[in-house]
Amino acid sequence: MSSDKYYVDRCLDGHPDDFRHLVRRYQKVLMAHLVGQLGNVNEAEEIAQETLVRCYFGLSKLKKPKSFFPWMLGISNRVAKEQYRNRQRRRETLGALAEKKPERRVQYDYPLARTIAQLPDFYRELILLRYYGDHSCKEIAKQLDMPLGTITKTLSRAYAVLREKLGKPAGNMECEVQ
Amino acid sequence: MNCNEYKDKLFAYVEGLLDDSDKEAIAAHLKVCSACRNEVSGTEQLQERLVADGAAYAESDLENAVFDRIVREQTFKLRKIETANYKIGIWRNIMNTKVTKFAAAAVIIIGVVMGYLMFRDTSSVSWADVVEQIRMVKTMSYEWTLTGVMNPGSESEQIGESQRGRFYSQDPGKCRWESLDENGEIRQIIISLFSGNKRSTMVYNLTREGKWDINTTSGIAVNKDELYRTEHLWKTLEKVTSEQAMEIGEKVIDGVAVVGFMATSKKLGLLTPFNGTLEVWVDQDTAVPIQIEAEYQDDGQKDVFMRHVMKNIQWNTPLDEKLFQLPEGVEISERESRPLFFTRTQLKDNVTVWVGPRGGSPVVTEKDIAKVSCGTTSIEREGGNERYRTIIYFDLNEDGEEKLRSHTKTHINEKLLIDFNGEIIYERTIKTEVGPRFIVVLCESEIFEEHELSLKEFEENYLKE
Repeated sequence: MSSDKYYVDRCLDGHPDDFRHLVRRYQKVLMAHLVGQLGNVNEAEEIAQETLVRCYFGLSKLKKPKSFFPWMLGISNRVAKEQYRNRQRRRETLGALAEKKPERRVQYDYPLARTIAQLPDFYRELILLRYYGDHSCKEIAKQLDMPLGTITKTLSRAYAVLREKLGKPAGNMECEVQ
Repeated sequence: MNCNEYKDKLFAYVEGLLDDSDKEAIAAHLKVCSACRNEVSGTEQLQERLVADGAAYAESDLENAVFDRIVREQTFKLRKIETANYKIGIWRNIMNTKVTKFAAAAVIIIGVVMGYLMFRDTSSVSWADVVEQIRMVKTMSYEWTLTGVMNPGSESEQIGESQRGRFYSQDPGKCRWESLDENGEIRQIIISLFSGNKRSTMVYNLTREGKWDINTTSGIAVNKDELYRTEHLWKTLEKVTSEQAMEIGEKVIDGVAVVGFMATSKKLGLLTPFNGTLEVWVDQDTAVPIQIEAEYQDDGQKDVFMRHVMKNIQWNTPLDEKLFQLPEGVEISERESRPLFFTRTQLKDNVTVWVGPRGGSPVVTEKDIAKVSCGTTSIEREGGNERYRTIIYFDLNEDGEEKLRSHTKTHINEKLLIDFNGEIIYERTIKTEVGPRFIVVLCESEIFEEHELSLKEFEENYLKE
C-alpha cells in the first residue's frame, strides 16, 4: 500500500490520475465523518464531492503531503460550514420549498456517526481510519508514523469514550476474581 | 498481571494484535474475571457496530462524480479565459504574427504553449502574460532528446538508444536542427528557411568518410523523422479541447519554479497515430516554457513509444546569423497555391469513388461523400523547373467520416487504395487529416504528367449542381 505522500507527490509530479487512489482510500471515511456532522447522507455526499474537488485543486498548497488526511477533514469542515450557511440563506428565501431528495435505502447508524463526530480530533481520526477507511492498526501506525502501541491505546480510549457517550457504561472495572 | 494490566491489553486482544503468550494469558484471565469479560463483550459489540456501519458506506462511490467535476471545473475556468481572450483579440493577433511562419518544429513549442496555457487555472502566471511572451518571441533554441521506449510504464519497459541534438529558430522563418552523435559531435544539420511562399530545406549529413553530404529540397520538409513527428504533434495539439488538458501542479526545474500542464491521449480522444501524453512546464515568473516532455506512440509500431524531451529552452537569446546561412549557389524555391471553390458541388450520378485497402472491401465510397467543394493547384518553382500538384477536397458525410475514422484508428499507417472513377488510382496513407474531409491528388506533375487536368475541367467532367 503506497502512502498518501506518495500519491500526493505523484499528482504534483504530473500524474493527476493518481488522485483516484486518494479518493478511493478516503471516500468512505469522509462520508462517515460528514454524515456524523450533518446527519444526512445526501448532504454529506454533496459536501464530500466538493471537498475532494477542492483538495485536488489545492494539492499544491498542501505543505505536508503526509498530512493529507487531516487536511482533507479540515477542508470538509469548512465546506460543510459554507454549505450550511448557504442552505440557511436559501431556506430563508425559499421557505419550505427547499428541495428534498429521497434518502437511500442503506441503513446508516446515525447515532453512532453523530457520536464519532463529537469525539476529540485524534480519536475521531483513528476510528474513521480503522473502521471506515478499512485500515488495520498496523497500517494506521505506519501511515501516521507512530508506534503501534500508541495507536491501540488511543483506539482503546476512543472506544471507552464512545461507549460512554452511546449510553453504555464501560462496565464495572473492579476486578472480580471468581 | 493484575486486572488493570489486562485491561490495557483488552483492546489489542479484540483486535487480534497480541502475541500468543499474551493472548493465552488474557484468555485464561477472562475465564475467571467477569468484569473483563464484560469489557471484552462491550468492545466487541461496539466493534461489530462500527464494522457494520463501515460496510454501509461501501456503496459510496464518489470517484467518478469527483473526476467529472474536476474536468467540468477546469473546462469552466478555461471558457472564461477563452472568452476574455477572444474579446481582446489576442488569439487573432497571434495567428497573424510571423511566429506562425516558424518551422513546424519551432511552432510546436508555441502550439504547445497555446494549446495548454489556455487551460490555466488561477495562479501566478496568467494566460495573457504567456500570450504576451509568445508574441514577443524573436529567437528560440532548445536541446532535444528522442528516445524509443518499448512498453513504457510496465515492468517490461525497455529504453532504446537516444538521439539528441539542438534546435534554433529565428523569426522570421529560419530554423536549424542539429543531431549529435554519442560524442556530442554534430552528425546532421538541417536548415529550413521560410519566407512568404518561398521555402527551402537543406540537409547536411556527415558521411562515414567524414565528408558532408548535402541535400537540398524545397516545399516539403525532408527530414521525415524529425519534422514529421514534431509537425504531427503540433497538429495533434490543435485538436486538444478545453476538457482535455489538466494543470498538473508546480515543481522546480534547474532552480526555476514552474507550472505544468498535461494532456493524455485517452482524455484527448485523439486520432491515431498519436497516442500518448504531453507535458509543458512554464516558468512561473516569466510565463515562458522551460521544458516540454512528450511521450507518444511511434508510427506503425503500437508498443513503441517515443519519449521526446525539449529542455533548456531559451527565448530571445541572440543567435548567430551563420547558423542559418545557405551554402553558395543554393536557390530558394517558390511555392504558390491557387484554390478554386466549385459552383457545382455534387458528384455526377455515374462517378465512382472507392477508398479502401487493396484487395479488401471499401471503407468509403461515393455514397459517403457529402460534397466536393474545392480544390487547389500548387506550383513549385525551383531552379527554372516547375512542379504542379492538383488536389481535390472531398467532404464526407457523418457516416463516411465515422467509417474512415474508425478504420484508420485500427489500421495505423496502412496504405489505402484511392480509386477515383477508375481513372485515378493510387495508394497513400491517410493520417490525421481524417476529419470530415479527405484529399484526392488529382495530378502531380512527376506522377501524373500525362493526366494533367485543371480544376475547371474537373468540375465540368465530374460535378453537377
